[in-house]
Amino acid sequence: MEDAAKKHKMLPFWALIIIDALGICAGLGVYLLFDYVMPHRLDVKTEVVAEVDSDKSFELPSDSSAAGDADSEAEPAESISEHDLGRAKRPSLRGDSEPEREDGKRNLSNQYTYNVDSDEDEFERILDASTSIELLGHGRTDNADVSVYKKSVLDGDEKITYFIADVYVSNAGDILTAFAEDTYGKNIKDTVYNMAEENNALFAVNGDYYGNAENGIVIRNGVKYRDTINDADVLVLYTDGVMRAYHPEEFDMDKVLEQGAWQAWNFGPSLLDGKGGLNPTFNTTSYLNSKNPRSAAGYVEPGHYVFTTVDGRDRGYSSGATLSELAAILAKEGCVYAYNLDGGKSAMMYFDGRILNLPDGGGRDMSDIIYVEKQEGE
Amino acid sequence: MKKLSRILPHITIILAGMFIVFWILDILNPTMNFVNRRLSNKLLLIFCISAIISSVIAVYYERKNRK
Repeated sequence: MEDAAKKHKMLPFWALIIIDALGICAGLGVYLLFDYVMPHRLDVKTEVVAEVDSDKSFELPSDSSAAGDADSEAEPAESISEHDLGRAKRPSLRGDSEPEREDGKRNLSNQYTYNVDSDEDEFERILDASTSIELLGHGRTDNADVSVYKKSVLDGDEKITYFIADVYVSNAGDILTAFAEDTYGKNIKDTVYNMAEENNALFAVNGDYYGNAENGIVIRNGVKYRDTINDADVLVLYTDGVMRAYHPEEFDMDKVLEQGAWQAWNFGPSLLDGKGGLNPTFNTTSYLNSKNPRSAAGYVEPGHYVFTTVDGRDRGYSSGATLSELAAILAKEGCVYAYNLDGGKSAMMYFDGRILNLPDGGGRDMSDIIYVEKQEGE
Repeated sequence: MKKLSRILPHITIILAGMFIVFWILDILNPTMNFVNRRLSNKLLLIFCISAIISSVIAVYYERKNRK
């Protein structure tokens, strides 16, 4: 009788709740292990959608106008404090050299998109702030000219330290991308440093971490890997050197492919309105708009691109940037379009054999980079 | 049947808890898109089946006890 009673003795209710809570944690752990950690090679049907347009070549800046000498060695630190440098560098739109494309319309929100108002005050504050500039290095090949700077704005706890790569290429095909382990797949990751070294890069910056998502446009070096649209903005670099950011609702895959998409990234949001002004809204959430380490790509004109990596989460050295502040950093460099890439621990910039910035927590492995190649044999 | 009726509510609770976590994570960072992943879709199906069966069992016992 006692045995039967023991058998039917039920666990107390609080113990059941604890067991179920532990079950939820275990379930989440197993889920993350399968879906977020274990690498999966994806055998997809790839398609070559664009080839380098060799007729379209852009002039590189003359050596005398380039920062520093022609070697890829780091220059001695040179500090310049220049007020309003950005405004002086605001773009001279070479409208005549650009093919006509529909400009990005904003405020296209519906229940599937996440719009956050941009902050004009933050944008203006960074534009008006004096910038401390240190030239870190300059590299030149037959096809590219890259100057990298360490810059900082504001003071004290608000100080923002960021790295700028001013990239000129003679052809859009010289802006290259690479996958970790040279493989397209999910959770296949490597450090930015390793990917840059393996691909003989002069300069590299982290990409959009495509391997973390199941949807989204992936076109790399003229090859289409994925064409499922998600809710994030898309950045396209065309073979004629033009770069455009699109809201998902205005993105037309067929049109983009017709026009020769050399690269396409799907992260965002798009930061500038195509004229160097701040986008009134960002296609993101307010949580992602907070101060963070960030990487971004900017477009000045065909053949001239600016990449930035902002350090963060280290008050006194660099607090990180909100999206409006990031937009201002790139507007200051003369960009008309700017696009947020993966940030946080992913934000890393490589130049000539070293990582320039101080990645949060030492950085993390990720799935792709954007890079400019060194001269063959270098 | 008895074992099933004991286990299923816990499976339902665990899966419901997981989807609440996914939903919160997706609100914070929609790029992660946890709710719409392929694996999540399979879990959602298991969640629905488990919820239906445990509800049917609960209704059955409730009616039986009333009699």
